[in-house]
Amino acid sequence: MSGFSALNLANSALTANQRALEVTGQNIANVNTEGYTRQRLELRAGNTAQTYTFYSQSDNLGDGVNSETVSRIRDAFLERRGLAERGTVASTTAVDTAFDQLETSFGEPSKTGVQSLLTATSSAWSQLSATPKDSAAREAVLASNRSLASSLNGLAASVDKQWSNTRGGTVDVLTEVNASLREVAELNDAIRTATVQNLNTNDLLDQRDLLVTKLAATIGASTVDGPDGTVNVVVGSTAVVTGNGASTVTLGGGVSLGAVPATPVVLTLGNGGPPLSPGGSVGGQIKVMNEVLPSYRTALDGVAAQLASTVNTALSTGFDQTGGAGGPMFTGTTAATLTVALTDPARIAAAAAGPVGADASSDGRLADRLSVLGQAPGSAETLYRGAVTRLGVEAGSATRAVASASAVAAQVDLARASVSGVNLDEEMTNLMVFKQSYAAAARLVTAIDEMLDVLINRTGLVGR
Amino acid sequence: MRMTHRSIADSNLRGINANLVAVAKLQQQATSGVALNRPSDSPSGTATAMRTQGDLALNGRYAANASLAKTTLSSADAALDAMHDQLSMVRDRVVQGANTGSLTASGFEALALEVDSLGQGILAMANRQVGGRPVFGGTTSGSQAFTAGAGGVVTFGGRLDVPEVRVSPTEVVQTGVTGTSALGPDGANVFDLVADIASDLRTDPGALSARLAQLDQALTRLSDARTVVGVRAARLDTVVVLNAETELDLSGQLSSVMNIDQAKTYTELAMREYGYQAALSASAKTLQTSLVDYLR
Repeated sequence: MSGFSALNLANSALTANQRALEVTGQNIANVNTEGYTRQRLELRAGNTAQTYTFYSQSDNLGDGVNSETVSRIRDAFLERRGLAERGTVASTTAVDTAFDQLETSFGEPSKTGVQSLLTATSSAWSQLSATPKDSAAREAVLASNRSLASSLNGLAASVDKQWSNTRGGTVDVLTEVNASLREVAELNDAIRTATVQNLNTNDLLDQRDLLVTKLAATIGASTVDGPDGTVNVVVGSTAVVTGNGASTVTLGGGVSLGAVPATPVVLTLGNGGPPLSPGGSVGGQIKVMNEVLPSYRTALDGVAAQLASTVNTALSTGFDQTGGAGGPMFTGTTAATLTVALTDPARIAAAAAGPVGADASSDGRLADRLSVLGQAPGSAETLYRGAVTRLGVEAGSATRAVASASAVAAQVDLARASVSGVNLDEEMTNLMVFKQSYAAAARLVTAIDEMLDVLINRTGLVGR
Repeated sequence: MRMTHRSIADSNLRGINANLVAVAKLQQQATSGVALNRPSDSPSGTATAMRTQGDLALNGRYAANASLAKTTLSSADAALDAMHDQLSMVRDRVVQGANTGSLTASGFEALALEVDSLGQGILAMANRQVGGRPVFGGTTSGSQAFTAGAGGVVTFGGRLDVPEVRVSPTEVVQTGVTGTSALGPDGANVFDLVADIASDLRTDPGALSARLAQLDQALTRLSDARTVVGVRAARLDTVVVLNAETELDLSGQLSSVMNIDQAKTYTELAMREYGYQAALSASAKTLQTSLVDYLR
């Protein structure tokens, strides 16, 4: 071993500590970067003789320290858990937001909702039953039924609007998703090239992980490791990114709420390819479009149909102010199409008894029967109250689902951060350690320098 | 477990936010006084609130109906009373005509004219209206309960069924009595009797004493009708009281579902605010310190 090899050794120590300081600096710089995984310089003691042969001997202590590999500190299991939980949170949040909006549309309990208008209608019928000859009371019945019908129309329209907004939003999200899928494939390509050339891929890996995390939140994607550091992105059990090839996903199925029961909205591979079973926010929105909104729309239609049929049936048994047989109040049997058909207040059948000769009955018994229609079991009012109660229960459980998914995700994030996150205290300590080590290595150089100085300048001077 | 500053900051933020959300919700409740803002706040409470609000509105309607029925019944009562008085006066004239043998023909004529005019008064009372409806006309669409036809014969022009008004979810009250039950059937009603008496006064005073029994029968019919009207009015009074009680009950029920419990809400708000402040101060302390402060 020569004095110069000791200089080499000192040099490797200086380089290693400097690199370690750089890695620490990188960690500190990215302390708040989303998706950053902390890195560590892997140090290995260097040796010259790796292979031993018969009679071979080596007095080498080694040639310093090797510092080539910078590794990312991560737990693959926690990363996968994190992805799955992110998908669940996004999916439950999408459903909860939809329920929230639906609750706002229904606007119960209030003094302006459909329930209050149903009550106002009953009240108007009761008033008419007490004063069947009063044209103001007749007008009031027409007016209250009109506002009831238009309120049901409005509610149905707002559910329809929410549906089309949800679909539009989902299509926008999918544009972003397709871009991300392409990017993941490109990164896969770059990572493969870099891995083959034995270059550092850590930052590329971080970028790709961030994209995959977003894909997990939007379409519930998960990953399967491929060769040469690539990953395949999988939705359900179908691969959407394989190596450097990305597929696209599109939204198929019905384009309006009315079309959904027959053709449910579905996420397909490519354009109209096999259906996928996505999670994440898109999965949540698809659930909203296929299950949540249609079920409340159906409930509203049920209310409208029941209202129209009970009122019209009752009216057909009675007689109006002129003694003629009662005509129907409503046309249309869905919440969107319910309209008040009667225009002449005198044509409202309030009387249960028919005319005697030319004398039309002015009894209000039929109007009275209509005023208590809402209290019968299975009435429109009962159906509506049932729908609102169901809305309350389902909205409450959707909110709780978000809370519990978020709590689980927070725990997983914490566990993930505890492995991969940057701890400043730790980095500070490392900073100190590497700084000291660098100083020690520099001292080694000085020591060798002095040794050489002694050897070159102070030896061979005897007798001079 | 290895902790990082980032995860401490994140979990602090979550805690602070959770407290702030709770404070905001409680503050909204405390300032609005309403605990039930959307169905998910309490699904069963929402159903109760909706039903109770409806019941309350209808209860108000029933109170208005009862007051309308009361007006009609009072009017019928007053009319029956007036008719009874007038018919009693007819009876007085009959007694006078039957007992006074010294009356001259012009005296009888004066009595007959008086009886005629009393008959007109009874007819006016019998056609009394409330809100465009003849009180004794039943459910007729016309405006007259009794009409004078050819030759001055008065017949019932109304309908026999009496209007009904709902005064509670379970009760309907008939407003008034039928004209024929109070004043007798066509051909044998009060007006026929009065006309006969007037004609007797003019042509056959001897037949007058026989009319007294008929008059007493007519007076009894009027009294009976008044009793029926009185009973219905009394029932209405009870219903009005019950109605007011129901309103109180329903308002109480609605308030217990819809409105906040003041003491509970304010206490919870104070607790949550305290928790919020504690979270803020704890975060300020933990996030401040790191090794950076101590290294030189």
